[in-house]
Amino acid sequence: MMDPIIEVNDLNVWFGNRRILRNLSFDIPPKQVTAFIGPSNCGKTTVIRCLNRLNDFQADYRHTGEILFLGEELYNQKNNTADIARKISMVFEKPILFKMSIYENVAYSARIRGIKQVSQISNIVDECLMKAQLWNEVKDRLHTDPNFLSIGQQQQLCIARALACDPEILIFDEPCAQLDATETPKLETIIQTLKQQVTIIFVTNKRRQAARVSDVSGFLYNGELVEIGKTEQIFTTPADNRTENYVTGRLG
Amino acid sequence: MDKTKLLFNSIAVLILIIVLIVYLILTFKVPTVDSEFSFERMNIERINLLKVRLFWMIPVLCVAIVVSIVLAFVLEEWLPTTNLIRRIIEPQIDILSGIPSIVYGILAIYYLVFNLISTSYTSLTFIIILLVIPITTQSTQNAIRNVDISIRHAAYAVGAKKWQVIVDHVLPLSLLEILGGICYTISRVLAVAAFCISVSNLLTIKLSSQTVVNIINDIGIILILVLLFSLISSVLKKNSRQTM
Repeated sequence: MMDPIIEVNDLNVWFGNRRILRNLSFDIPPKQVTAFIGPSNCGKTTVIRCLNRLNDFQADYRHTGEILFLGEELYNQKNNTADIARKISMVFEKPILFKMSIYENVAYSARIRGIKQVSQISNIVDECLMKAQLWNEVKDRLHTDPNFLSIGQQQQLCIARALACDPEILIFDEPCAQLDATETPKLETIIQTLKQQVTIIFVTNKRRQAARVSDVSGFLYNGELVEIGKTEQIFTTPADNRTENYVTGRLG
Repeated sequence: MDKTKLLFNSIAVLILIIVLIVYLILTFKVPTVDSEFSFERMNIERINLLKVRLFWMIPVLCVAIVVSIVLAFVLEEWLPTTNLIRRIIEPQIDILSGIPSIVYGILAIYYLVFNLISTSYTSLTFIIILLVIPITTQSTQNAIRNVDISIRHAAYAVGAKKWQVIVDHVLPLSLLEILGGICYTISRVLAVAAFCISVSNLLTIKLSSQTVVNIINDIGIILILVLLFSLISSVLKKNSRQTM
């Protein structure tokens, strides 16, 4: 067993007086797909936003407990928020694109990380679009407006943009929520191929999708991490009663 | 607790403004304002002097607009809504921006037409600052708030620093609306200037059919500018809504 890339010990999160997460402890293995499942409003998005420090922009957010990224405390004073967000990049539920061309959208995150050479940037853009399996569709119109792409292609462009900032971990926050049935399998195959290069954390409220895509699954319920383990074990022989109710469809 | 603090704050500013206006009304007696003042002596040269002094408003206007845009960005981006300084400044900006510009016009006539003394530059500066900063700050804040929060999150997620997010995404997206707010402010300031000049014309020249022609001669260009700037501002604001 390899060392975990992220270790979370006894994490509690509050927004104002509302307690969102209670005593979470889990490890995230490297180069694998970790899925968090659970009914909506159970704290899945809050967990992953803790990991890349996007919650810091919420005014009344506070947390206790420790989150170790490669053995170092993530919420350290000397750690730069922007740097963390680059290493632990994120793809959102809706495809959010900048008001730039397709090429510039991907090149932006390469420029942010400090690459200035034009040839190098264009290499990165080509490579990332190929990894996101979008290259064949857009190679002739790299300098056009991305809003003319379909929603699934826009989401792939978001993945390419996230890959261009060279992340260690890639977080997907319900990436298929807006996609239709034909585009979802394509995104799942992209995730499967990407896990050879980066660690993937994946949030979904579709149980079947988690079963198809992930290697490790964690079940969240009302802000508690009920169970985490190998996906086969979670979906076939769950230890907790609530997990069994959820994966068989009796709960949520 | 916090709401009551805000309320007291607002009431304090309101009382201050009311006291100021009442004081100005009570002391507004034409003979005692300037011992040398009389309608006969207030001749064409004096009005020309007023027009020259009104040119002082151009550099003040530029500085005030820059200051208010910086203020708006600092308030929106660096101070969270729970911050004490923001809580003190924001309600006052809201109140000051609600004052109709005729109030500032009356202040300007009091200090610039009846009282052509050496402090008129200072008072002109104060009037323009009071007129410009609240309106421009408020419109710029609205423009910044209108930028979709998800764009910010996406930019943070690829590792952009705060200033990079502002320069690369927030500023380009809100630029049209900010410019619209600036044009609106300029048109308000010019309207106040036109008001001052026409009133001083009315006081100097005997009322006749010639008076109206004179006034239109003097303020015609300014009025055209006022209309132009308000037109530009409405067009810009409409366009910015479409691009969002």
